[in-house]
Amino acid sequence: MSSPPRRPRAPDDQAERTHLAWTRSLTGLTACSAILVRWLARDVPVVAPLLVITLGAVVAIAVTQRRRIRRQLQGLRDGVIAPDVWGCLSLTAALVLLGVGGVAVLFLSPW
Amino acid sequence: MDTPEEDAPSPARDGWLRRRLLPDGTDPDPRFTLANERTFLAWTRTALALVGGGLAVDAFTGEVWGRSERKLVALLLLAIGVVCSVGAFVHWVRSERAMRRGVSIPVPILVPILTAVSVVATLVVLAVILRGQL
Repeated sequence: MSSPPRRPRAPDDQAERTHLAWTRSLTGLTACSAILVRWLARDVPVVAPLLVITLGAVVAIAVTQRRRIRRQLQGLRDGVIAPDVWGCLSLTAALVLLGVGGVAVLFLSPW
Repeated sequence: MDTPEEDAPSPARDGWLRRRLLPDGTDPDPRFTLANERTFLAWTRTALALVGGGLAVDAFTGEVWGRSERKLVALLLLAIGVVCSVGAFVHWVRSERAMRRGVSIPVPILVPILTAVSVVATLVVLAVILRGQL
């Protein structure tokens, strides 16, 4: 006896998985912000902008999550999705600024 | 005569930055676009772990390691984190272009770089630990 044919997976789970991937990135950025709070005691003028950048990225991702998953679900139904160039570029820019700022603190800090 | 598909505006082509980075080709299956975005995010989280690790090494190991060792390990982690982050974006753009042109996705150049730097960072940490015990 042959087994019944499998139903194809709904494409909507692609949007859900992408949504979760953004959420995990948001969590990582939040953890970095917590470490930066420890650094605040050292050099406020340099560390405070880094904290603002990191928390800004966290808030930006959180605020755009709903719009992002709606756009992706619509795109999956329409058969075409515009790549999120600005989202990816902004996240990269935030990370580069965080890394370069971190190096600056390493060398500027008397600790 | 234009087909309806050619007349219809492509959502993947609006925006000057998108036109500049992804100038040609046809829109791929949306599942591939999302898979590429998730791969970018996975690389970005790797970069984030490296940057966060660099920050944490300098913030929390002050009582364990000397200043120069601490700074060296933190600098290595922060530097490779930045390289990894930029590489993630470059790989995302190259993969998106390849999918739009219907060619093979390029091999990520980040893999050998990340492996080499991870080995160096591990050796540095081992050396620091062993020197502290001797």
